[in-house]
Amino acid sequence: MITPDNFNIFVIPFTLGMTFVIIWLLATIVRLWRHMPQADRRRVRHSILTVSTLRAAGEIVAEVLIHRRIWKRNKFLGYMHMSFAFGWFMLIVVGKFESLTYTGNHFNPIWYPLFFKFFVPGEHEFFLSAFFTQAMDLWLALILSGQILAFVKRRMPGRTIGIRPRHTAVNRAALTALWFIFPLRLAAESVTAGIHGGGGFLTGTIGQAIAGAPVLDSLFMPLWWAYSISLGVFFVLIPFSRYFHIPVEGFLILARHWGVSDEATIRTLETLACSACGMCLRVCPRAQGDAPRMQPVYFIERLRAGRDNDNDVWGCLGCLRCEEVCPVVVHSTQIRMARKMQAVPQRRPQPAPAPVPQARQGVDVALFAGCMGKLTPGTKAAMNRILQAAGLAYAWVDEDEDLCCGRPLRLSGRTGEAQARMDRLKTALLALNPRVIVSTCPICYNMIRAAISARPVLHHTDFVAQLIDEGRIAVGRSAQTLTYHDPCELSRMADISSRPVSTLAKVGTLKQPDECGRESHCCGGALGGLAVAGHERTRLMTATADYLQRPGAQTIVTACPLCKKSIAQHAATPVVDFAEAIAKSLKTSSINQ
Amino acid sequence: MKDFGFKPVRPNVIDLATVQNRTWTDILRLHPEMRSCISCGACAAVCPNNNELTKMSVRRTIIELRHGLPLTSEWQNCQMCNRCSLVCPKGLNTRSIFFRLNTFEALNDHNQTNAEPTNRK
Ligand code: SF4
Ligand code: SF4
Ligand code: SF4
Ligand code: SF4
Repeated sequence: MITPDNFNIFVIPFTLGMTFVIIWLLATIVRLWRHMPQADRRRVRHSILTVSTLRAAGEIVAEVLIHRRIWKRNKFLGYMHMSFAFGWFMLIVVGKFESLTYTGNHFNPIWYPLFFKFFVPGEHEFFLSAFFTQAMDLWLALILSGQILAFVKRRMPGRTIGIRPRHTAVNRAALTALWFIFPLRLAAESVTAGIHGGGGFLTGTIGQAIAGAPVLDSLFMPLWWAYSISLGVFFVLIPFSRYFHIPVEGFLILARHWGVSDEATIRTLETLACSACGMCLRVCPRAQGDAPRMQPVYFIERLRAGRDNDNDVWGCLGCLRCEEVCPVVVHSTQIRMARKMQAVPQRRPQPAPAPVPQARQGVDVALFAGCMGKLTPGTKAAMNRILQAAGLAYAWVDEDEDLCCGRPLRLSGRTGEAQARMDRLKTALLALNPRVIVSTCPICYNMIRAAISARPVLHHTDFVAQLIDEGRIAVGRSAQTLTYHDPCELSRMADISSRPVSTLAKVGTLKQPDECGRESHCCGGALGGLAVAGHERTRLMTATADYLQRPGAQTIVTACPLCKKSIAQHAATPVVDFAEAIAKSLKTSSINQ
Repeated sequence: MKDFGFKPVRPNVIDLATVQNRTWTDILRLHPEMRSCISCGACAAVCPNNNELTKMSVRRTIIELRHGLPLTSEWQNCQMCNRCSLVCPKGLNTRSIFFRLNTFEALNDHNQTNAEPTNRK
């Protein structure tokens, strides 16, 4: 029932905004649902009433409200996000219960809890009323403290968060509305407390301080109006700004837990769930130079507006440093991949090539160096020595022919041709009938392990480590110092980072830079950087080479031919492959031939 | 200034070609650095598609593009492997040429396929 007790015309801006955002959100979800494949819809229907929903709810609390992943990276940013999200959420929940307890009625109008202090000013005794009053002030104080931090952050970003993203006009407008909401609520409730008494430790105290001031009455209605308008404006802007992530992230988490496998659905949700927090900006190697910005925060912002540009799609190195830190786990490189495929013609794959000669049947190890491996013959020679020492029969599948895993073509958007290359490589590898397939290139390794399940596929770091662990080869430790550079494709993509380090520790002393393992820098030569200008690439390579030389080791070790070539071009310190470092330290007694 | 039959476009590059051609201009617009190619051929030497059996040469393609000649090289074979750019003495991202040629064609294809439905009525 709408009565003067629970309605005043000033609630209309808020109510309209709120209704609008709810309708928009529902429409978005319904549209996604209708575009989802049958299988996924069935999966969702089956999972809704299972424990996975509970798990998702847990994650929603941890990520959407508390922002656990942001906390882990940056306490300052974590507190800021949490104060807004958690504080506002609690304001809504506690406010709901407050109005419920007061009226004893479940069906209060949508605006009632929000403007409770307007409709029920002053002190009232009802169940837990004191608790509600203080709690509501506490949540408001929490939000305002976050807002003060946010203000500090804008004033001195360098001290607090590093690079700060520059937002688009609509995002700035929404932010301005958001910044008005809580100070206005504080002002409106304090003035109300000043006139009618009541209020908690915050609004009550301010109310007492200003009580009796003659302007209070004339401020009363304008402040409540302003509060309602700022809410309304903010809500109307939500679907067009980054704040749409607030409702969407929950759906993304649910979809992931319900096992939705449709790429398009997940990518759309991820695009909408990006909060433009800018954490990706700080780690992206391309953000350091003067090149136009294409980091996920900007790319996704433009993609949502349908204005993403050439540099957004092709200027990314694909080093995955951004995905490593993204609190929403947005797979931006895959979103880019989808855009790439739209941008280039999908040619028919080339005609089937000549059958692969099946000369060397039944080897122990089939080795694949990859196209880039041709530029690093040292790695190949080292692997030959290691395998001879281990007494294994082996063959390089690309000894006489240039085979390709197809990844480079894939990264340039030509997936059909890439698949044809992979098929050919697969045939060639399986024709050797190996017990195990080993690649000395992490990029090829990732492609092959995704394509071949009939045989174990290993990266050579894992394979060599295994040979040492099994005692097939023996290595000797020397006084040398080493710095190991984690290739993107190995550490972040394949999650192999500790084993190469522990293996290298058996042949020398490691001096690692601060950011290594899954946080390692990008060598700059990345395969994805199709449109990265030469001088920009040189800058990236030099920066990483310098960074790796900082610990002052005698040798830089890496495990990717691309990294090796890129770093070696710009480092005074010798750069060797993992295999070379191990081969050099082989105990001669263990060499059989 | 005396006409030597060539003009220096950048202090370290002599551009013998005066031909204006659309494709090369488009590539230069996106990758101005390609102007500094010195036609050394290092790129072609390491290219996996440059052997006796294939008609693909990175260097030759660049020269043909510059001079506005028809492309005799099977540039479509480029597998984007990145080897050429890692050996380029000028540090150019060489493969971006082939990548662009491919997308330019995409534009043409795109225009053609888009033209069809209107004719069909
Ligand atoms: S992609 Fe992730 S890290 Fe980057 S702005 Fe969006 S949410 Fe933040
Ligand atoms: S993948 Fe690497 S280069 Fe691309 S946006 Fe992320 S951090 Fe930047
Ligand atoms: S290696 Fe570089 S400079 Fe030499 S021909 Fe190729 S692109 Fe030109
Ligand atoms: S990227 Fe293309 S042109 Fe360059 S070496 Fe590889 S296949 Fe040849």
